[in-house]
Amino acid sequence: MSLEPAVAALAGLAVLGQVLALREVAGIALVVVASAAASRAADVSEAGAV
Amino acid sequence: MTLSREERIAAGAEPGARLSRVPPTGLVLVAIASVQLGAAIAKSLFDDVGPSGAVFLRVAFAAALLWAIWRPQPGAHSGRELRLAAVFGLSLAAMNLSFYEAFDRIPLGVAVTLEFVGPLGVAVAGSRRALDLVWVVLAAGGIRSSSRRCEACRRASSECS
Repeated sequence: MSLEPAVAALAGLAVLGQVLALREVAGIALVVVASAAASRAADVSEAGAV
Repeated sequence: MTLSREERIAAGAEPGARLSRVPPTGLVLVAIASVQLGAAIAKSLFDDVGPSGAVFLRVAFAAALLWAIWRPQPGAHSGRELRLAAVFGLSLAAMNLSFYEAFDRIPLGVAVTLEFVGPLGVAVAGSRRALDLVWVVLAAGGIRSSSRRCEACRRASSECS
């Protein structure tokens, strides 16, 4: 699910021609990385608790 | 004899039977691509039907397709279940409506990034690990960076105030 913002940005570019500023792309990349890392860490700690 | 949904899926009598063999990661990727491409296509209809019209079309098509495939029987459920389903439907409609109104004003990628604050917040709120704070700070920086200098975002917020 973490990929959602990146896919949204691609869909906006491909279908609507929405070109994002470098700043916006960098921001989206940060959110994707943070979200993936947070949910990955949650999986690991749940597995460890069993 | 009535079978549970799981038993009917196992017996191949449910439309979900074939889907249950697809790996979950694949299903998530298809879902993401479908939702976001759908949203982008919906935006190209905004000039004709507006955001609320596009939401109506999207949800109505989904309901018609699911009705045709799953053949639900409302009579087979208790009043409590039907009330819960109605509340669920209303919250989905409210979510879609506010999301579509948002990306009528700002780029799709930025809108979805902002939308991510919710799920990410829930994921991190239940955590007590210090490392998760790092991810919160990283995500906050990303959200700030993707929306701060966005011209459309500024226009949208001045329009609201």
